[in-house]
Amino acid sequence: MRIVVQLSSVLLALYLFTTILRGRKSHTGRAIKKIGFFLLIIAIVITVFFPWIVDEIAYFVGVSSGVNLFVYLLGAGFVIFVLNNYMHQQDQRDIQARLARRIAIIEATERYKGMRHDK
Amino acid sequence: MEKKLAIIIPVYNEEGVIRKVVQEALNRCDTVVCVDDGSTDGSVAQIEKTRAYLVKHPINLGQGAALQTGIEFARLLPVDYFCTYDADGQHSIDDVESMYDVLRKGSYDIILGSRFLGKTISMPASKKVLLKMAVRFSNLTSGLKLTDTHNGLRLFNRKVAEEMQIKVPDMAHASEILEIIAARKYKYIEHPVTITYTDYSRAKGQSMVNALNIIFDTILRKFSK
Repeated sequence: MRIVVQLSSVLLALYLFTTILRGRKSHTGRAIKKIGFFLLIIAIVITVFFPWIVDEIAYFVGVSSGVNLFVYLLGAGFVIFVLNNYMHQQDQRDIQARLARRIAIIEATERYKGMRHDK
Repeated sequence: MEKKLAIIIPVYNEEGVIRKVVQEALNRCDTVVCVDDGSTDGSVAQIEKTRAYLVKHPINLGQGAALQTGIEFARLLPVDYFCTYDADGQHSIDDVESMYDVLRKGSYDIILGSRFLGKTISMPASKKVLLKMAVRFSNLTSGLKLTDTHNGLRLFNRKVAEEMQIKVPDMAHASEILEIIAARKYKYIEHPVTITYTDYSRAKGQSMVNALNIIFDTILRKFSK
């Protein structure tokens, strides 16, 4: 039973990871990230004031203690944060490339206006 | 020989060889488009001494971005076929001729050069090992069956040029082009070509470590599509 819950947790994490990356530009994707952020804050509060609740959840998903579960969640959150930032950076590079390309082509088209066949 | 072909050459700091490469291309083909990718040396001045078209990126963006710019500019010209060609002099213009004939007479959308079907001159052993690994990886991620997946020499028709949208700005664009070919189900064929490695091209070539960047970006692109 424990291995089933552990595997399900890992699969769920992978699903969330791909969903967030794929939907990073959509309203839903951005909303999921904000919900995740608020859930993390709630988890921090619960861990501090009601640690036994986190322990119970941890045992249920096959992790030895609540603190360990919290560390795993933080690790997963950090990976998603880094990759999301990386993808955002790639998107910005794409925008930058499109702008630079537009400038380059307009400039070249102006320069070669009327010269296309006899250059 | 009059060809309805545009040879697109992305250029970044190739002052030493670019004029010779462009001149060789112009001797066989009327339309050569050089895309200067923000060079800081005298590459632009060298290109301006030839009658090639010159498109200048205001900033350095990467070879993939330069190719896309060249394709978009060449689409405005009265040509039916498009060729991507490296600036470091490692390709042979004879190969462009033979690939052009195959593309024009056949029913293919795109022809990809293969050094492993053709021949390589002075290829370092480490490069060969790396490229063979790249072939396995790219075939796996793209679903195509090719013998050389990172060859800069490609010829394609206007349909491909009109639809081509390379988004990866850097060297990982080669893998992206293969993914585009697979996704759009273009009819493709490989053609044997000769690649000549000189001290210059070896020095200019991408580092082995960059393969890790390409692998990482390709996998992430698969996940994030």
